[in-house]
Amino acid sequence: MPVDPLSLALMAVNVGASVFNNWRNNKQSHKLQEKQQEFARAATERNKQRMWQLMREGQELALEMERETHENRLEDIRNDFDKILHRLAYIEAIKTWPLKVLPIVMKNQSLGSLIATGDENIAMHCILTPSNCIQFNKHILPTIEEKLADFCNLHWSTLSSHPILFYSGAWKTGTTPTGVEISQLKTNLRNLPTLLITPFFKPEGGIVFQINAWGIGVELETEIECADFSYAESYKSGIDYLQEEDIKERTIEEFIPYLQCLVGYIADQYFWTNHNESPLLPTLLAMKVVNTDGMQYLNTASEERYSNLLDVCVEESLAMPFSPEKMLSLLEGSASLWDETTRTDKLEEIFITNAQRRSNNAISSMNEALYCELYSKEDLPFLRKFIELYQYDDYKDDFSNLFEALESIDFDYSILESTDITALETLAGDGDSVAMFRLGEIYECSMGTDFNPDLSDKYYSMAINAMQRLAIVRAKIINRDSIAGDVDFLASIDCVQSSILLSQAFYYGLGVEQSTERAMTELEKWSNSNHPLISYIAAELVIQEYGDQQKELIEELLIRSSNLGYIKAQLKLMELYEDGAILQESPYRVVEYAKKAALQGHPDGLLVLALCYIRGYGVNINKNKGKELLVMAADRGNTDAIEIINQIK
Amino acid sequence: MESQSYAANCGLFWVANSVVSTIMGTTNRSLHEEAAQRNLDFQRELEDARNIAQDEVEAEKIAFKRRVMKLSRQYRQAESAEMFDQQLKTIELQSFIEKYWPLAPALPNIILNEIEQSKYSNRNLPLNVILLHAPLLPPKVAPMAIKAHSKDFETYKELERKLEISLKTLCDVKLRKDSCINTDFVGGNANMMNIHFLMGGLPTLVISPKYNNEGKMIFNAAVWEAQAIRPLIRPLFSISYEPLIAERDDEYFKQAIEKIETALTVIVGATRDSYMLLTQGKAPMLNSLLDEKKKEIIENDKALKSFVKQEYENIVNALDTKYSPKLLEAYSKEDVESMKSQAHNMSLTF
Repeated sequence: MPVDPLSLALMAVNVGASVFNNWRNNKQSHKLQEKQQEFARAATERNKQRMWQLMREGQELALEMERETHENRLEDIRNDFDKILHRLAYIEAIKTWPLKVLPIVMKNQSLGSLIATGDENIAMHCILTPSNCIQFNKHILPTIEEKLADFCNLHWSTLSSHPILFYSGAWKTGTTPTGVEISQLKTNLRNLPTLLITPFFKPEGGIVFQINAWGIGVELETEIECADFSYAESYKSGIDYLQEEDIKERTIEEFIPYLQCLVGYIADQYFWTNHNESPLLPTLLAMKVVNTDGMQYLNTASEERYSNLLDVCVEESLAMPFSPEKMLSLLEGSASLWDETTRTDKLEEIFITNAQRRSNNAISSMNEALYCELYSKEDLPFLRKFIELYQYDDYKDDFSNLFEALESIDFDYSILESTDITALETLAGDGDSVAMFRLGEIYECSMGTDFNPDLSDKYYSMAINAMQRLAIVRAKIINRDSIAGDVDFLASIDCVQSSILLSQAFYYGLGVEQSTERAMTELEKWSNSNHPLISYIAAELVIQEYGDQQKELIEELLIRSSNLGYIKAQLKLMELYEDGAILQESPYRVVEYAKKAALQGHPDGLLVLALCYIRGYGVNINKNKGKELLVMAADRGNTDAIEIINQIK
Repeated sequence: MESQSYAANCGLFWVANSVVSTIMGTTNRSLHEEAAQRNLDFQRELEDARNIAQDEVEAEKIAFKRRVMKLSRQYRQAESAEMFDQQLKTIELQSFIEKYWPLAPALPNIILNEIEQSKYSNRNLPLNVILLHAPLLPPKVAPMAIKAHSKDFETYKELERKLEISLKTLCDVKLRKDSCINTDFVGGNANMMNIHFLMGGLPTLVISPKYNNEGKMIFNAAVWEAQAIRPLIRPLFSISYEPLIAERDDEYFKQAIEKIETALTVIVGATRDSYMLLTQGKAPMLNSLLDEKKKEIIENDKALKSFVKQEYENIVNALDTKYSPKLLEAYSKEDVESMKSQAHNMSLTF
């Protein structure tokens, strides 16, 4: 069949076009390949350049760091030089150490002392040094030292609550300490409660005791004139006691009780101020352990000193918080110094001052102080100690009523603020129902610990069994029962927990008129509180009342509660971010809060997080991880998780 | 005619096909070029990102090295400070061993070895007893210094020998014979503290007799449990004694030494009984240490007798579970009662 020329021409055009297209395609492929190769070459070149550059920078940095290290080493060497100097100085200091007992021994840094707890520094270290009178040092000082050592060992034993370590025979040289030696002691024994007594005979006649004390709360550097001694005027540095037998005997007789009182008073002040221990010296004086026969001035001076101490203490307690029990402890120790009337007056003064300190009104009598209505359960130890010391029948009934009223309060504000689980558990173990309630709350709201519903329920139940009223009211609110009979009780207590319960009661109208406004007012009182329930309940109220009109406030309140660890707030946020009705839907946020709840082991958190991983919602898909979490949720009893696992199987 | 028209139509189709192929080819090629350019741009972007990441890694490595350097310097400084502190302590320890240790110079090494061994042993530690040697006879004035009477050395040697024989029946008391090498030793509290410093790891009783220049030989003692923070130092009792008479009257001296020996036996026995009863529940043994003569001496010496009585009464008080409830952690109520009755019986013996 002859071919039509037109067809031939059209075929030729078609073939031509195909050939052209093919040629153009090949050309383009070639061009693109060249371009890619060129890019790869350039990239390799760039990479090479970069590697070189990095290497050079690395080398530069290594050099710089070596330089820094060198500078540091040089500085250390210079510091070492200072230490060498210090070391050499210390060698000399130890060579010339004035005592027969080294600082390491006094500080009890013993090799065998493996149980050093810091308690060793409680003891007061006492040293009697030689005087500037050779005869005194030779014939009198050893006896005085020996008697003082016996006095301290017996009555201020190292195992007692008032330990004094009297270092008899400690001073190395027979001469009075120099200023340098005292400084040396202060430097090497700093922080160690130390008392150094030096008798000093004045050239013109008379004796003073030079007192150096440190590490006892105050640093003392003073002289005490002793004009009351029988031979005060005769004491001179050059006196020959061998020829003056009478002076010798009388000196020993007078110096010993004087020094016993001096050491005792300083020790009492130290133990009372720093360790709240009652004074001991007045009792020793009353028991005639300190023989003050013919030295009445010692009793008078002691009485005066302890009275002054108490007066200052009472006065200061008005201006600053001063533990009233501490005042009683001072009075308890010094009681034997005063007759019954004075003692009673002083006690009443302490009682009235304590009330005055806490009241804005002037209080001037025991009656006013007793009925000032300022006492709480925390005051019971003070009141008990007071009545123990008072031993006076006048206010017996008033105190009985006060005790009865305070003891009937099973409430302690400080306990409801505590997050010290160990202390609370101890209190709960001792039957403190408030501590039980607080522990229930702590485990419910994850306060400083993880959410633990079992422990929370256990402690709430224990509190209910112990008739703890807050716990009972809480249970009523959960059951939506009326709390009409408890409203006054809740209103009378000024604490965050009572406001939370009242707020819920108002909101649900449980025995009170329903009022969202009142509910919010109760919560607003504690808007600065760190209690997670405040923000959570406020958020719930806002959701119910305003819905999405207050989304920012809702989000803020829930995030606040969630950040305080409250698991319900975390779950709520998770739900709201997933739902998108009130808060904008955010898969990432869902995962974030599901994770927070899951970290505390909540089964709902674990389930949601598992589903997020399985579906890749807000997180990269990871079915294995999702399944693991699902199993964990099922293990914790989440029924949905169990059902899903069964379906998968 | 029909076939001609068909051919023409086919031809037109080819032409149209060719034109479309050409146009599409051109479009595709430009798309390819764009895609290739995008690919290159993306590769470049990846390269930049890789570089940035690498830069960050390098920066982090450098920062880490710097942190390590800083930390190692801090550690070095802390170690250096600690080492310096140790050096100062070494100075003190050297001085302590050379000049301040009041007993035999070889004793520290023995004691430290025993403390070390006691850490790995479950055995109950014995009560170490050390007798300090105060002058018994008036000191002799030597040309250069006051020296103790030469007889004192022999007397103490004999006293310790006899004490050792008395204490032989007790396996939980270890008398450290000849620990005190000075015969003019004044055992004040400072020296007690020095002994405690090194021997704090072992339960120890240090007895320090001392003449008080008023016709009395006073006995002081320091006692501590292993690892106790401080020793309990206390005056015990005194017996009448006059060195000047002892020097010239041999019979007086002999009797006085017998009394001192009895006093030492009583101190060791009573302390051992108190310590072993309260810490290990062991029965009191003082009676077994006293022969008739010693018992007679105690009977005739008021201070000695009252000391023994008081010691056992103190034990009875210490065994009161009302004040020492911790006792019940180690012993049953019946054990405590039995210990109490043993101590009470001992107090009645004297």
